Amino acid sequence: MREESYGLVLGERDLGAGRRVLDIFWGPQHPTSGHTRFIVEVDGDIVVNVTPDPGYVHRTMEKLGETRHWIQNIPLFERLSLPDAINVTWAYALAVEKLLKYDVSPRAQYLRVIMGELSRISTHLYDLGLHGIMIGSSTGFMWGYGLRELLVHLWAMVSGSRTTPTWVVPGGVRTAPPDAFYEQTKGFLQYLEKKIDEFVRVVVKNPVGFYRLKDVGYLSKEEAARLMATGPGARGSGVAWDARKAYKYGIYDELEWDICVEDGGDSLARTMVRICEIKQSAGIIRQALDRAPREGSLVGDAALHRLPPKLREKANEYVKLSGFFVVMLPQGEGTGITEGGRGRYYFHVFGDGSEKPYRVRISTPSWQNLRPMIKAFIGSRLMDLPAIYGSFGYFPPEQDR
Amino acid sequence: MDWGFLFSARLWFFVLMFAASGIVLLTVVWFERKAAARVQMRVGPYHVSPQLGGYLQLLADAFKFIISEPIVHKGAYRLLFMWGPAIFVTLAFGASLLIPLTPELRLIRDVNLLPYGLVFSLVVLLLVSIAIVLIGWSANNKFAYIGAAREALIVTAYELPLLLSFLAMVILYGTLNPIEIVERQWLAGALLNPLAFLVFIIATAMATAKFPFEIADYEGDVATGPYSDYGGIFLVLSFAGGAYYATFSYSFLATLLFLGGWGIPNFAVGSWPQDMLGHLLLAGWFLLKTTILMMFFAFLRAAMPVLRLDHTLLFGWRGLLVLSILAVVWSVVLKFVGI
Repeated sequence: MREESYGLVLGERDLGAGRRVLDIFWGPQHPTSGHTRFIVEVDGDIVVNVTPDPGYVHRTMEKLGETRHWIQNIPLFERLSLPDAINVTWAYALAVEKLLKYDVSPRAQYLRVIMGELSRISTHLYDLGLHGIMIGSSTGFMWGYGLRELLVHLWAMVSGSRTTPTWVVPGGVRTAPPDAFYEQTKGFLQYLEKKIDEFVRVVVKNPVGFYRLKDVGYLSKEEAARLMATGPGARGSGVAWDARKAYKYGIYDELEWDICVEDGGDSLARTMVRICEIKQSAGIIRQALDRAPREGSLVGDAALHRLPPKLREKANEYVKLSGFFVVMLPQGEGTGITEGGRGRYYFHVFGDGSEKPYRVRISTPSWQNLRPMIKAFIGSRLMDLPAIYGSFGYFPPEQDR
Repeated sequence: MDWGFLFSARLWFFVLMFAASGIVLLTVVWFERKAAARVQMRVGPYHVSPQLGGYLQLLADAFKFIISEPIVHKGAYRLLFMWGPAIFVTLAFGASLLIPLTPELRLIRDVNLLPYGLVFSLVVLLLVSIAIVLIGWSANNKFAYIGAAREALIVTAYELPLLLSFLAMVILYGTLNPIEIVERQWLAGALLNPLAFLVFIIATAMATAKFPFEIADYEGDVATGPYSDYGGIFLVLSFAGGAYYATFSYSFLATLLFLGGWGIPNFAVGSWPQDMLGHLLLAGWFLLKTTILMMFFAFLRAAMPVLRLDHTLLFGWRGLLVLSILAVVWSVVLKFVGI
């Protein structure tokens, strides 16, 4: 290596005895690093230290949230993590509901669970696909995204938009799904379960893929708890924590489902948690589809009373965001926590009597998973970095907010 | 003017190899894309030549690459950076020119020199990895540097098994002369010594960075490794095109050694140029088998993730090397039994 320092080189440090640590700038412009940078120090093939350098896609979400009407924050905040749009906006809606003392209509509770679980499946497919291409399997990538393509058609059917539903509103949901949605969702779930088994066979249990994931990026149960891992990052290490069970929001405690936990603590365990959760979500959606009332108001009574009369008549079919413009946030605060595909979303909204929130505090799972992920990086081999990164479903736009 | 040179076997060999390898590459890349698309729930190339199912997509891609500006960055060692791809593709394709296409269509005219041609082609092929290391070094980029180091490590994993499986077949046939090798294969070499065939195929996948051994240029951490600073014509000659020429040469060699080369049972070919059609038929048969073998390598992309470097090295030293030694033993046993 010659002396000129060039783009990616930070420096080489001599440890004596002929050993050198090489610093590699992994990202932010790299096929697999995403919009973040890791300064990786390698000793030979072993990663000895990783310094994260986040912030490349910081979009000042929290500050922007203070500058507009609180209902306009829904389309803003879902852009935190578009694959998981429903669960993000659900957490914000929960916070605002606490603040405004809104109730949620029974019909909306079921619809929220259906779409929330679809959102979880969407995130898991997104992450599994990216994880697939990170370990070199283009087939896994295409299958993950191909299946998600079917799912976003269902979203489009319900909300009119493939990726930005803006669908959960405080008190309920924005649009009612058409009848075709109930049938096609069942068909989709059937195909999904068949295809996800194939995914496991071709990508995860493939001998090559298996050894890319097995015993890679180990995170012990204690470390996962201490470093506050969340989502599959925690459940893959044996921590049976799920916000849906812990806070019992929505109607999750009325439905039968289990928390997916794996004890491996490695990339494989985290991937298998994802696979298991997709299947559990399919079960939840089936139960909710059967029980969901097809008639009824989309928003709870408290929200319904504040809607303009013309919109109130249509509240069985749709609710317009503009209907909420007359509602001010009272002085006070409210929190909302949901379990997204990647982990726990937390919204803390402060109202000051005006239409704009005084402060919105957001905590996202990718930010929480950053430290556990760095912990899992250290000691692995250089080629394991993408395998570990993908297993946490790390998503820089969500992390940087 | 004497037009006899138009029927020169060497000229025909040259033209056939250049034209045919181009067509083979076009077909294999098209197959790679279409087969992967089929597996992966998508259509694959379509909009360039829809009547042909997107067959000409590669030409459009190549054209795009060739007219784009070749960039040599400031830190690069210019000489090697610019000549590396040319060395790469010359070695990769040149190796196949040393093997005859049919008994008479060949570059090496002297029959006594043919055995040297076979050995030399293998040597030239193994030099390709040195070209990759040169490229990686000249780019002066850490990713390229790591990629080059990986390539050098992987060479240690596949080179010995490859040579040993070659040796096994040479022991079995008792000759290095390609023409005799084809004649001795009353049964395809792959059936006579399946172990050697297996080792040769795996070693070829390693040598040509096919999945699951796409390690030196693994996109996940080193961003196409040695080739990460290449674009335009440089990329065509090394990563995007040259690597396929290397696969072609390896497959060509494997077809000769293991799949019976140009030999068709109960078909005797006359002398060139009188029996021109017969020779062209044999050449076509040889290239067809090569193409099918290349398609197998291409299809691996749709089926496999990438194996880890240390696992690959372990696999090379503990698995492939042992297998290749067994292959040699098997050949010796067959030789003593007298098959």
